[in-house]
Amino acid sequence: MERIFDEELKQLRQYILMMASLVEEAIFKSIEALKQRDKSLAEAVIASDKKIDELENKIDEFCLDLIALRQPVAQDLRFITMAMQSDADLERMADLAVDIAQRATELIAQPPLKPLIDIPKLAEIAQKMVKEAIDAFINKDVELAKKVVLSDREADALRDFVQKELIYDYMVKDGSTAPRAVPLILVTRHLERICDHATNIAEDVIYMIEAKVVRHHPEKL
Amino acid sequence: MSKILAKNLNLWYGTFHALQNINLGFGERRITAIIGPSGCGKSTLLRVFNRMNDVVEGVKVGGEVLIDNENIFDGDFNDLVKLRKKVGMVFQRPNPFPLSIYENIVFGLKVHHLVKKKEFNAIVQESLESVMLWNDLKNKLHKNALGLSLEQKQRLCIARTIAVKPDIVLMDEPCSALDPQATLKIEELMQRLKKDYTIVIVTHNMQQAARVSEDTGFMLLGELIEFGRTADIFTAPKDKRTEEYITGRYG
Repeated sequence: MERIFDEELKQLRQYILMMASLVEEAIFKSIEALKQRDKSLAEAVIASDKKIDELENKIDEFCLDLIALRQPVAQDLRFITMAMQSDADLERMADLAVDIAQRATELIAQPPLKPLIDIPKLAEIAQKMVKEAIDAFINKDVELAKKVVLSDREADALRDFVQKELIYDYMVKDGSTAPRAVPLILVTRHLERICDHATNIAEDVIYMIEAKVVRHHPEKL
Repeated sequence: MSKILAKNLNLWYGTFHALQNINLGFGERRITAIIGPSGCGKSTLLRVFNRMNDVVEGVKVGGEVLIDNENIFDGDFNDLVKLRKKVGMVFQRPNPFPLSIYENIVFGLKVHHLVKKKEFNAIVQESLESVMLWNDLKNKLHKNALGLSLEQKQRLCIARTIAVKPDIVLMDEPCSALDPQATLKIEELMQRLKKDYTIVIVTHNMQQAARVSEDTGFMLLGELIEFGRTADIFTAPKDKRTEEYITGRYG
């Protein structure tokens, strides 16, 4: 039986998808700004953040209304809870895209330290994880969500590798590279944090579908 | 150990199989809610526990119901007065006797010859205190109970039930005749009574089941579909039929 409430849940889903697409775009542009040394692209990312923040508030308000007015239970409750947690993760991802754009602006003002190879690889992993977490949400795909959670290790390993390289091959050997190496180290950190938030969303998707809490319990995957 | 344990319980009204192979344990000093659509058998199940169905013509019961490990269809409990001393019941519409408030409460004490008359006053006070009516009614004890508000009447009925110190209190839609504020007060009262009594409540109101109970059973067409912690049933029911019912997708 289709309920009027189902229409509202569809609307909530639309809001989440809208927010996710804005966040994916912000992450993509921030990486492009870094790779292409494009200052205007970095500025566009920074400017787009406000819209994402507003959408987060709108989603939270909508969820609170639904909880108060519809008193949801079971899968409806799990979906709304997931939406409230995921919009916070999406908003943090957008902030991290802004952080990357700011680091890009700092780096554009200086000559390149080295050709970027591994950072774009890490960025690719992050973008893929975000996309797959959202796809898992749209298609209620538990297997894909699990894959996202498991790929977080790959991102951690690559971040460690890049950070070590920047510290030992550049900063330790030549201290004057620090103003360029430090922003790059921070970019790896921001990208790895994006992966963590994508992992959170994937874990929430698993909770939404299977009512199983896998957050902090990887053995339950 | 369960306070009430139903084992392979079946009940027929004539040829209609109203309860089908129910196996279920009710925890002691817990509130258990039974939910389900109209006609699912939840009130019938409740009425089995104090053998209220015995008076219905053509009823046949199979299986066992153990209360404190003793079969209620056998032995000592064949004395229904004894069973109903142990298992009290509160009904949908408050049904005080057309007697004084005082007489309503001591009625059961007289029937069961439980205590000496000189103890009546103390029990009346204790019973009214536990339903939080004492302060309001202590100077009106000899007024007719029919003059009370609906909520007060329902509280009085609960006081009357617990005056005989049962172990178990069955509640069949105890708030459905009450307004939201009175409902809330009865629900609060149930939470307080839980420390002394095992409570089983049948309700159409799912939010009420969620608010007051610790365990919930969902029934459909005479079968117990799912039983578990109320928090689990309302966040992550295991059976699709439970999910459909509690989210309002059923039907």
